[in-house]
Amino acid sequence: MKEVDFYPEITKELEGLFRSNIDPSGKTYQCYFINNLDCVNLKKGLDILIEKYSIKCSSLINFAKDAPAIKIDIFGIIIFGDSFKLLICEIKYLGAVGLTELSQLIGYCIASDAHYGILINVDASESTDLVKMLVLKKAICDIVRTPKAGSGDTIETKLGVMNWQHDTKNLVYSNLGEIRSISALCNEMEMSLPIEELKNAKGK
Amino acid sequence: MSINTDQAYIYGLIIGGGLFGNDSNSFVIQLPYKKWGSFEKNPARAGEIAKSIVGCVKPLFESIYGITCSYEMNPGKWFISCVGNTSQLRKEFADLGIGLTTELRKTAKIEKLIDNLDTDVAKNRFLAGLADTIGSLAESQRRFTNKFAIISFEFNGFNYDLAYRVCRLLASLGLYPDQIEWNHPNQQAGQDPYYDDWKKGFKVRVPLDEYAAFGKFAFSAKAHAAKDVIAKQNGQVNHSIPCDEKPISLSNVCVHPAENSSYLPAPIKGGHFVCQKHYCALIGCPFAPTEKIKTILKTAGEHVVPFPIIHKDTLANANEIVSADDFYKTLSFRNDSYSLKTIIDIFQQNQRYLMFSAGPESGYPINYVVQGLAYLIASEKGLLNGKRVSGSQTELLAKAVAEKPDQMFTFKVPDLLSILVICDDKNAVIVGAENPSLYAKLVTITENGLKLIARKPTRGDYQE
Repeated sequence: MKEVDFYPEITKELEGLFRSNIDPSGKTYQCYFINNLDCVNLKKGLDILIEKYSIKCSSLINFAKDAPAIKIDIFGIIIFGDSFKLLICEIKYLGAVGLTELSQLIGYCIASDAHYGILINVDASESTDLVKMLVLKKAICDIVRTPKAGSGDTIETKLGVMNWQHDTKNLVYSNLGEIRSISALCNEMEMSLPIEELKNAKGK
Repeated sequence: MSINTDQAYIYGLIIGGGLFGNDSNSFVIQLPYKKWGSFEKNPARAGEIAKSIVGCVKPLFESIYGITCSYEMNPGKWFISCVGNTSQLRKEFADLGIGLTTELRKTAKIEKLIDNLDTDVAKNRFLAGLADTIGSLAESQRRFTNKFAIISFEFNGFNYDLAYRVCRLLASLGLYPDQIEWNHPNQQAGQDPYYDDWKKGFKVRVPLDEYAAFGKFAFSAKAHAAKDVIAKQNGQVNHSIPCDEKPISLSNVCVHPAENSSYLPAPIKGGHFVCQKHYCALIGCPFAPTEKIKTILKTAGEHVVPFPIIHKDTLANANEIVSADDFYKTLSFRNDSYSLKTIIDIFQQNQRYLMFSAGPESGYPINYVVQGLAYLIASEKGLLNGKRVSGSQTELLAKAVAEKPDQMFTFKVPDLLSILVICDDKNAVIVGAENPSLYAKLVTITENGLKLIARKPTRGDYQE
């Protein structure tokens, strides 16, 4: 099998997990995932999702206009009212993923202004060097930057590393990086909402 | 509280195998893999199990609760050993009304837990945790042939609520159990009230195709075993039938003294059950064919036998049974003798013949008399496997008739239609009579027409 062969099953699993964990009723949040096989690049993917699901979130619509046409394996958008979060996933099918692959993910996250990035290796885990580095230098997985000098605005990107088990169709956690589990990530996304919206969501 | 997908899987593991002691900072998850997970029998599978615990369960527990896991393997037993601060886990379970004490699957009430599984994905994850612990995929789990593989969720103990809730959860997802075996004497000892070893646990059996299409496993060894077993179906696809559309299989069930066992919870205790679905209806499962069961119970005398349907024993033990029973010891027995050939001839003419009939539909069923003779002959020849004939009963009897057609057996026939004792000089068989019109008088139906209480007869019942 090739790396791309795993995209559909991983996309399906991620969408299911996010929908289940963030908003089981589907009333407060919208979660959509798409992979490179269906959208070619990030910009086209966003356009497809906005049209297909009649998304009205103006901040996402504006974001999509300037989104770069970079080839991302899988990405997901989680929309709350007029706010959204972008998660991108870099899929690898290697004996072990290392700094090279993590660097690629970091590059995509910075280029796309993604809020979250997950490096997912299929049926294998991480190189010893990557494990050491992520244990000793945790900050690598929590990047805060100022995209426009002098604006005072910052963008924070959190990264995690996970594995995909093809035989069981499960995401397996590595406990490396700032995203330890999908449920924790979903919880963090909820908590990053404006407080009133969060209250409303929790009171659902 | 809404249970997230990671919690749901962990909860499934803990409900399926959690064992808690006095140390609040540790617990174990028992994996009852026995032969299936034996390192000696299948080292590759044992390796996969260890890898799944270290590679999948351990990081999950660490990321969600900060609890560290390792595995322990003793002959026939696997454990996931969990160490760390369990206060968060205990609080979550307490919020669900579940105290983390002792062997959880024997005590846990999971109604609230299931109510808080808000999505099919969360339910799927909970079931995966259960499947990884107590979901048996042994090759013997099948319906008649390899073309119908089963996953059997198996619980020991007497937690009827757990078996019911798991079964109901599966049914609510369209995974209707092919069969549910209850841990009850009427299920495990339906023909023999003197069979004490009836505490065999619960089995909720679902077609594996259907489970595999909806559910999953986190353990690679389970996923691979499921794939291998399904491959043996040679392309046959099996579907479960909704509980209320399935035909109800009825056979006579004898009254067992353990129907009043203190192990059994209300409302099961004291009840006599005619089939698997009878339990579902009494417990109140919305998927149960309740009206069909009520109809069946209107003619309960046809399905209840207050005597052993068949009991095989030594002659000394059989005599002890008769002399110790308040009713049996009032009976007076006459001794008749019949040859093997005579009985076999009657059986071959009419396999539903009732011996020593005292009225319509009453008498001792010839098929059980023949089964009893086979036991006596096999016992004499050393051809028993436990109390069953090794190999074909038909062949054994044919050979015996050919060799010794005039072999005689003693038939102890009582004055009242009750128990027939057939014996040689070492062993004996007790066969109970069919007598539906009398037995109808021995049953009482309570609790919305669903709880059947059956008693043994007295001499007075025969005189009315």
